[in-house]
Amino acid sequence: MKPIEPLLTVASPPHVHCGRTFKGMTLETILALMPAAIMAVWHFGLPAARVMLLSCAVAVLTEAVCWKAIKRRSAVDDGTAVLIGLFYAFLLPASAPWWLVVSGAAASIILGKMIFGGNGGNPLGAALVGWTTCRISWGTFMDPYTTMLDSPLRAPLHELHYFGLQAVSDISATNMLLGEQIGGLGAAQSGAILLGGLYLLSRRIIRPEIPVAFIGGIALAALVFQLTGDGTNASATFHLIGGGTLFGAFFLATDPAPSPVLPVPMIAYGLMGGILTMLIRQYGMYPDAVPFALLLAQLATPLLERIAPKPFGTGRVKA
Amino acid sequence: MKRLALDHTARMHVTNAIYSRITGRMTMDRYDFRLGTLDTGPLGTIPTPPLLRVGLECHDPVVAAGDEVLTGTRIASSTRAGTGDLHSGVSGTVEAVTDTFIEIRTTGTKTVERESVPSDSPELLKWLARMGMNTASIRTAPLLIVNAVPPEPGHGIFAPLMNDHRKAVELGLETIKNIVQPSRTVLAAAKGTKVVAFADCSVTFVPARHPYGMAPMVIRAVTGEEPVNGTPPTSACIVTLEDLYIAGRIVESGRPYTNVICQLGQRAAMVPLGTTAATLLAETGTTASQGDRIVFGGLMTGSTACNLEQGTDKRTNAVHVVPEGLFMHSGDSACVGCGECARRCPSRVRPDLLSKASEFKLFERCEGYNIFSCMECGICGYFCPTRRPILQYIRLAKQEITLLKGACEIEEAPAS
Ligand code: SF4
Ligand code: SF4
Repeated sequence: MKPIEPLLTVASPPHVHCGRTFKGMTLETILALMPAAIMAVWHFGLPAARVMLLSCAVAVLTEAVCWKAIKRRSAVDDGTAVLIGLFYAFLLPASAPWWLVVSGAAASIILGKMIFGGNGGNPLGAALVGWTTCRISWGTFMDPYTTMLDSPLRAPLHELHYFGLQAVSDISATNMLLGEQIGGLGAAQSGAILLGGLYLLSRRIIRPEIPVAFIGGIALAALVFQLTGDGTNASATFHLIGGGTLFGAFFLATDPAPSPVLPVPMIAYGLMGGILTMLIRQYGMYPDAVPFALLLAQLATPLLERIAPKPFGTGRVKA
Repeated sequence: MKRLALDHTARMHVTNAIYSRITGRMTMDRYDFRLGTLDTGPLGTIPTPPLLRVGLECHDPVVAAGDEVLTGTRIASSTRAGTGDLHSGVSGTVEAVTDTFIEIRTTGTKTVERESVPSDSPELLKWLARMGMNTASIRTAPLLIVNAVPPEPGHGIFAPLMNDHRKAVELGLETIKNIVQPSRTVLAAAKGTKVVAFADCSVTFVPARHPYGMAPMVIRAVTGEEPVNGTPPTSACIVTLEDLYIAGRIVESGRPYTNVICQLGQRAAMVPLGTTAATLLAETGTTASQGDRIVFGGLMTGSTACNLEQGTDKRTNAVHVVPEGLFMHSGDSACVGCGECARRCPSRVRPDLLSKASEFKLFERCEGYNIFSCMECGICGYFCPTRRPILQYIRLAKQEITLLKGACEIEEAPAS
């Protein structure tokens, strides 16, 4: 038989594509984190840079080794390992010791992502899994407040938690927006994070449902606490720009794999994350609480996803 | 100029697919989802092709290699009710008959004799199928919908039919009405397009955007009822404007209909059934090289030709060449769960879950996800950032489920 000339590509439709790639979306998300990373170095100096670089390097290396170990074509070049490394670093205090960075970044990749077969399989945010593992194992080292006592900066959420509203009344919103607060080294750069989040929204890399609902959940709960409480509860604004709230809203919560994909479940998920955050802050033992609240919301994702419209032609009849 | 509609100067051979001249890649806003924006001018013809290769879908050949055939000679009879027989589009010699196609070389210009049109309606329907028309969707119903919405972007052959071939179309409408016996007839058209309605016929406008021209969407727009793909709607019968034209031509001439109306670049032409890709590309002045896709049909739902010798079938309403490297290849990339597909699916199914289940051969699970609601519009694949072949997974699962259920025939994409 003569060879077919020319050899055409045979493929299923569609034969056009929007041109967006997952790698591109990941790289843009990393780009959106850059203002916060720069602000973190500005405030915390070289230690912050050291934590971020180490975390990313370990994440990439771990993933590469994992692909080798399971003998699959490596997908490490899609940039998600760097993103996960950065997410994890953003949640750490700038003073984190090297072994904490290494073990957390490795845990994020292995336990958070690779045991589920890589991207998309993970039911929980990879960096959140790594962070939780370390938070539970080495709580004191993970806590930005206890590890950075020698820093001149204030820790709004912690001080609120331990000493009450009076103690934080002198912390200005501007300071918090500028990231002049102790918290996760990147997560606490509220203003820069907001900038990055808005960039992602404008580029349609994330959809507004989740961040808006998350912020709404926080604000709503804060308002309820303020109205029903005895005047010792902080305002919604304080909760929103304090600590890693906005980082959670725009980056951690919108992680594609563990979050719902349809509008109504997305809103429910965002609200749930926000309200849980506030409940833990109010009644729980964690001053920041965003990672834990998001983990819980992500556990509920399969359930929330059941709120789905009826598929075409299976009953819904327009009157 | 994000939504620049018709700029073909950069690369002529991909109609409607607009290139970014800087990167050479199709980008987000450059593929225009609007329907009915293309002005093809009047319907043309192409010179008689030297060779036809007519594909056999569910047909038994009734000719053998060496036979002489005329234009309109029956060459294969359909084995499935509602699918039309196949006829030679040229007068010539049968060169080869295989399991999958019949090849005919053109030698003359003779045409078959005229047949008389049966007068009673069941007979008329069968006769139309014998004359080459696909009649699966035609049956008695209180409502007849004439779908004049272009089935997908870049499809522009309805306007010339509506304007220049009024007589055949009206004759076809009369014929179809005879069979369907509707109490009401509705013409569905894309918003913003010019329509000249028929007598006794109201007009419903649908949004001029893909996928609103697809049959299930049009049925919903007109009746408020959502048909599940593959099952006929209970209260309506839907035909396309092209169906009317075909019926009209058959009744008018008393001869089989052996053409397809095919869009070639920016013009539309009558092309004999089975005209090869090579002939059509030569006609449009393009070539296909290693790795390109030759697409028969629209870019959102059409199928690719395997080689240059492949002939057009009755669904080939356009021919495109999509150059290699225009956008990234689809492969077995994992779903990252971004949900782009699910949020855009007009059938409100979950293409991500469906494709994942199908990928792991969990076909029963696909049924639970209502896979048959999918109308195969191609939108999920267009937006998937990891470029998963979602529709391929879905079709595979549909086919496997159908086979599992003991039906021996393979589901065919709906002809509409
Ligand atoms: S092809 Fe994709 S987007 Fe279109 S109906 Fe089917 S699953 Fe939905
Ligand atoms: S668009 Fe692609 S990657 Fe995103 S959820 Fe759908 S199938 Fe998965």
